[in-house]
Amino acid sequence: MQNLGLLYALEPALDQIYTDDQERRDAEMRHLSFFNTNPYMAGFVLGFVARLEETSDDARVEKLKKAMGAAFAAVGDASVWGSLQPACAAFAALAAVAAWSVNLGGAALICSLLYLFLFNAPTLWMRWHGIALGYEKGEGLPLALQEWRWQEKARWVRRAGLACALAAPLYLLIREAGFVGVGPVVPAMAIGAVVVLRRLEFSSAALFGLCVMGAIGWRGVTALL
Amino acid sequence: MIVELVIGGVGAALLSLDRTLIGQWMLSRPVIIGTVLGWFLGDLQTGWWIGLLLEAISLDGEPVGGVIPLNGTIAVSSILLAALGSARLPLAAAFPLGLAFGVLYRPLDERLRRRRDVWTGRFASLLREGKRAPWREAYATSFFEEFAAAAAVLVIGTAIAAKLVGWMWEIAPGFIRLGFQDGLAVTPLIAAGALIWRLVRKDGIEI
Repeated sequence: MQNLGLLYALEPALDQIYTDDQERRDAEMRHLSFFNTNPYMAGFVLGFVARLEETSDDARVEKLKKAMGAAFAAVGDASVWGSLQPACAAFAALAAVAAWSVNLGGAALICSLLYLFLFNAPTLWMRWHGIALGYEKGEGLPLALQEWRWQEKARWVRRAGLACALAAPLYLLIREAGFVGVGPVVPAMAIGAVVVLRRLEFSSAALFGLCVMGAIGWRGVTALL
Repeated sequence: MIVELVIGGVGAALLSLDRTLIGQWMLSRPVIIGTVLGWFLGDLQTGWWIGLLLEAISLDGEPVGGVIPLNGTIAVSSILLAALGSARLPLAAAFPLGLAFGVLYRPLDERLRRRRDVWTGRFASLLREGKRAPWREAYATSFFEEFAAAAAVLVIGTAIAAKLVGWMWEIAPGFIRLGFQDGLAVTPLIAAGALIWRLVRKDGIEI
């Protein structure tokens, strides 16, 4: 359905570029072909395609649109779905632990709003600014984006997220079970085991199911004994 | 109360439109829906906590290409509606129920996607006939179908399933109930491990 979304967003530009009805309809038909990209990067592609519609022939528009859609999908998937979203979740978890430890009233609301802000501030900027930038830079867009060092920024977001994701359970374990002794070791090993099992493609839902089955078995055996 | 279930289910179904059709501002993420539903159902802390757990668990899969991950919106909503709504199901029973809803919703998600794809063909034939694209009809139909499916699952599905699971919970032997409680107790560890793995995994960007 992303082809329809792109066409809907492009329609005002197509109305301006093509004064002839048949030409506009031909352009609309072209944009009904398969199109896919990351939703948060769509603004860049949209501005880029609008610029191409003004300056290039039909075949070139179609070819470059698909190429840019795929390239931006890769960048967006890695930086938004792969880095920003889990980092926001990790930050929310750490904020939750911090708020809980100081008995902060309204912590749930504050953390939820913080989560929304952390995710939406950069992505809304990308969506909105991307349209203008895509249109302004045209075919120079990939070079302009290269200068932004997406990969490096996404890597830092990911590292920050990982630090939060590690700090939250660590703080809880130390607070609940003490800094020394075997108390925090077992839960920490369990978290490590989950990481290893996730690596082996076990889903979290499946792991939950396995834990329940194991616990039922254990409880059943101890009840019998 | 049935009114609570209907308002909660319909509200969550409206927010679930944010997942793919409107905005994608993360309003449909479990941590947000959990907080909102928890507040509405009178237990903000539980709603937020369950939302946070589901947030990490639902990050297992990315919505990339044709991949349809576990529906965290449906999962957290059904857990909270079953546990904090009129059914008052114990959290240890409501959690696996909601997780099952989230997993089982995926084929319906896929079906809804396929139904939306039909619009491309319809648009093409209308444009060939020289007509303008029926945007309002396409969007209204897609929004309604997505909303109606989520609302039906959350209101009717949760009501029936919570009743059934509640009855089974009552007659289940003590060791089974304890097993489910143990499962819920280790869920934060699973969620923490899943979140760490999500951030460590190398997919395109190396740590």
